[in-house]
Amino acid sequence: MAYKVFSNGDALTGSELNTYLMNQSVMVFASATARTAALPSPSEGMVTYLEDTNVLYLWTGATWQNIVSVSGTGNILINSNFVVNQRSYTSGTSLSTGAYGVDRWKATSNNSSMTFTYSVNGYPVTINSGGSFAQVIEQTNIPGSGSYTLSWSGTATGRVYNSGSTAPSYAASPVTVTLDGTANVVVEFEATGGTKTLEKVQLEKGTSATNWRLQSNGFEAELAKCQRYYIRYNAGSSGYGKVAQGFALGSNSVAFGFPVPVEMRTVASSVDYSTIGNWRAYDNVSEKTGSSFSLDTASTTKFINVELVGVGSATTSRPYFLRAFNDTAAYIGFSAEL
Amino acid sequence: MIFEEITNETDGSTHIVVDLGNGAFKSFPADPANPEYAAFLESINDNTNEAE
Repeated sequence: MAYKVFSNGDALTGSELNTYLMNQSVMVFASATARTAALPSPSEGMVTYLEDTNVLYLWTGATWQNIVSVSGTGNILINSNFVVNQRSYTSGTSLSTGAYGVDRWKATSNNSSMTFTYSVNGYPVTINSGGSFAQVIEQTNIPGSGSYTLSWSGTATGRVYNSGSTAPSYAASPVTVTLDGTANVVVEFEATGGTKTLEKVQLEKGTSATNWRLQSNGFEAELAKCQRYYIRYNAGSSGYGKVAQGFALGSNSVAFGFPVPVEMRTVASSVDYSTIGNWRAYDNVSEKTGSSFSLDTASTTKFINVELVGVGSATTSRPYFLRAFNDTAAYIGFSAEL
Repeated sequence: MIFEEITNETDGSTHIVVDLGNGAFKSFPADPANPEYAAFLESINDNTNEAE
C-alpha cells in the first residue's frame, strides 16, 4: 500500500479508494471469523478491530498481530521481569515454602529455586524441578470482575485463582480465567518433570494476551511498587552505613524510626535482619550492640518504629544512629507481604 | 526451626525471633492478627505433625 496526496479535482478510482482509504483505515469486524470472510487476502499493514474481544490487530504479512487490548489494563503483575531483588536473592538458592526470592515472588513448595543470569533489562528464570513460585496480587489492584489472561514465555506451567479458593490445574501459556475481584489473586507457576523456564509474565484484563510490558515505566517505579510490600535497608559498600535515627528508651532498648519512601500495604508484620552483632546503636562516641530487633506497636504504614533490644548499656533519651559495623552485607528489612 | 520469644521493653508485648540461618533473623509480634505469626504457628504445627 502507498500514500497519495490528492489534489482538488482529482478523479478517485475504485482502486484508489480501496488501497488508499479502505485498506489503510481501521476496519471493524464482529469477530475474527467475520474478518477472515471479508479479508481472505489481507495486505501488510492493515489494521482491524474486533468487537467481540475489543482488540486491535495489525496484519504483518503473515499473521494478525495483537497491537493492544483496548479494554486491557496493562500488566497487573509487579516485577514481571524479576529484576527487582531487594533481598539480594542469589540465583539457585533453595527456598522453603513462603520464603521470598526476587521481589513479590515467593516459593509455594519447599526447596524451590530460581536460577538466572542477572540483566538490568530482565531475564528468564529457570525453576528447579518440583519447584513453584507465586505472586499474590492485592485485591485493590484487580480492576473488577471479568476475564483475565495470564501469559508468559517459557516452559513452566501456570495458573490464576482467587486466594483462598481451590487452585485449578496448571496449564501452558496463555491461560484465560474469570475473576470476580472479591479477593486477592494468586498467580503461580511450577516446574514438573524437570527444570522449566519462565520469562515475561503478564496478567491483564481481557481474553487476549497482548505483548508483554512492565506494569510501570522505569526500574524506580517497579521498585516503589515492590516497596509497598517489602523494603530493605542495606549497610552499603562502606560496611558502616547509617540507616536510621532514634533514641534510647532505656538502658536495654533503643528505638529507631524508618520513614519509608512508599506507604506500605499494612503496618509491617515482621522485621528481618542480618547478623545482629553487626548492627550498632551509635552515639558518635561508642557502639552499643543488642540481642535482636522487635517491631514497635506504634508503627504505622508510613513510619516504622523498631527497637534494638537487649542493649544493656544505652543512656536513656540519648540520640543514636543505627549503623552497620564493618559488614557490607548488613541489612534490615520490613515486610507487609500478602 | 530455631526460635525464641522476647519481650518488648516499651510495651511488654511478646515477639518471636526466628533464626533464618547464616546469621539472619526475623522478628515479629506474637499477635494472632499478625499473618507472620499465624504462618509461624502453622509451620510449628506442621513440623510437630511430621515428627509424629
